[in-house]
Amino acid sequence: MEIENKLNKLITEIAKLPGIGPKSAERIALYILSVSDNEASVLLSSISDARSKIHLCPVCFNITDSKICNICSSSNRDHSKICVVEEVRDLFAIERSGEYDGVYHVLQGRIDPMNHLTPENIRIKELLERLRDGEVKEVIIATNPNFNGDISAIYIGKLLRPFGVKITRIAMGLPKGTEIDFVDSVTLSMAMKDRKEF
Amino acid sequence: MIVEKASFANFRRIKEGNFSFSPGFNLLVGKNGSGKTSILDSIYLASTGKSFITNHTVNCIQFNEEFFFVSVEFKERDLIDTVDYLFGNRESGHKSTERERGLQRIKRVKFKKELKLSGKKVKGFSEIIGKFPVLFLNYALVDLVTGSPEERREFINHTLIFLDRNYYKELIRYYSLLERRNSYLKENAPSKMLINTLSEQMIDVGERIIEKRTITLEKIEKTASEISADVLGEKGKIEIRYEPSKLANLTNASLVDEEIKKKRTLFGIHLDDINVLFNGNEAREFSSLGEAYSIGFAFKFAESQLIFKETGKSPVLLLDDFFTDLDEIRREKILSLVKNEQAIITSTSLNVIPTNIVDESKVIML
Repeated sequence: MEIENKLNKLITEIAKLPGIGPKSAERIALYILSVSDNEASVLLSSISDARSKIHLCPVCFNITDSKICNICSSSNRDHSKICVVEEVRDLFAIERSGEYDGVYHVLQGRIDPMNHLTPENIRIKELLERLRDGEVKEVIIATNPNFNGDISAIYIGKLLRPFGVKITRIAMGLPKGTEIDFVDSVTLSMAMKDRKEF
Repeated sequence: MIVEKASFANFRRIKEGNFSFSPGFNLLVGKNGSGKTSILDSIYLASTGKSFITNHTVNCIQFNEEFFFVSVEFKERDLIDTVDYLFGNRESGHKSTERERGLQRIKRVKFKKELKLSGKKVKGFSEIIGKFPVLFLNYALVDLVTGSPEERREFINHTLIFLDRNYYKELIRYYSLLERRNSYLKENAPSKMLINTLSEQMIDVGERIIEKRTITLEKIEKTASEISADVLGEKGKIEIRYEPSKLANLTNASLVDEEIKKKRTLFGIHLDDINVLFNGNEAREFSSLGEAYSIGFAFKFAESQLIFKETGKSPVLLLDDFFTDLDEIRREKILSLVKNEQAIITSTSLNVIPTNIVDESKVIML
């Protein structure tokens, strides 16, 4: 019984991970039990290493294991452009696209009064601090195009105006590889409104 | 437009039911508690996503059951559209107690919902609302005239969702902004900049709503006056006085301070004043019950005519307990007004219904 309880606890903990249901949790738990001691301890130590060494970059609030993240410290990146995103995973997504050569600012959330996320709770002050030395020429607001993301974008846009930087909002429109008659009408009307010279 | 069929399971009073209706008059006859009103409610629910009896859809589930299912067929010319709506507690197979249901309401846990329009899954009622005009009339019609302005805001909203494709979306946007503004006002020392950001968005969408309400209320006033004078024989002048709450106050610094103190939004279209004047006096205060009834009917019929004129769809009329509440003369006059393709009328007995009406109606005994 004792053994089963310990297994159950492991399964319960694994099932708390995002995207993992009870069945996958059971498979993972049994897998962890089946591997060699060595392999298991590598997994354990990499978890605890990551937890203890990875922290937020003090400049852009990306996650990093060095003092400043490798995007902020890179001399190949254009430091006059800041792309503002809600979460680190948004930053990763934009990095995967390979299209952007500027630096980032991760808000660590969005303005969402219903869940007590107010401008003071997210990294807006820090963004304003970064604009003070006048090096930044453009801020690209890439918060999610949903209700709270839009409100956050409008709010940040208002705050930035006095700094005289160029403020842009990431474009919204059709996803690549789709067919127009499958696209919902809101997206389509945005795409139509934001069409550009070709 | 007509309702061809309505079927449901575990819906309010009815365990299981399957009814078909004809164009013209349909009479639902049955004792109190036999489920007449439940049938009307299911049709109303399929049109608007809301029950006219309760604000909590979960309360439409039959006592001790886990879900309800409603399916309504609407027919416009030769086109049939079906709305299927399954609504249940999230965990099926688990009998939830009254207390758990109460808790779920408080925690705003989403219930399991499945909604289909003509066999295709749709995300929510936003894709259905405005398509199938249905008007519900019962004794509460008096409140439309003598009740609070909220009743009349609901009336104008109900009218406009059928007349204007964007109105419902604008309303949802406005109320989402309002909800956020209100919760932000409850925080300690909220930033005025964020309040202003929300206010500006609310003003932007609010102005459009006010414009639409103004235009439509003018049309309603005109048509309702004609109906009231010509058909109901009321010798009085009906006026609608629409006083939109001042949206500009939302960005007024000293008034925002006041709102922060009171921790809620004090201005905006959710507080618009719509008052009815009868012979120059406020109907709320001065009209008799009978007059209020007539004016209420005049409003609803004006809505019905307006919807027909502007969309080409004739709304389905649901008249609940119509024959017990009105004197005979008014009843006959009102029935003569019904030029809709279909009316579904409930009554406790056939005896109280004029025979000429019974003869031309489809009668459903419960």
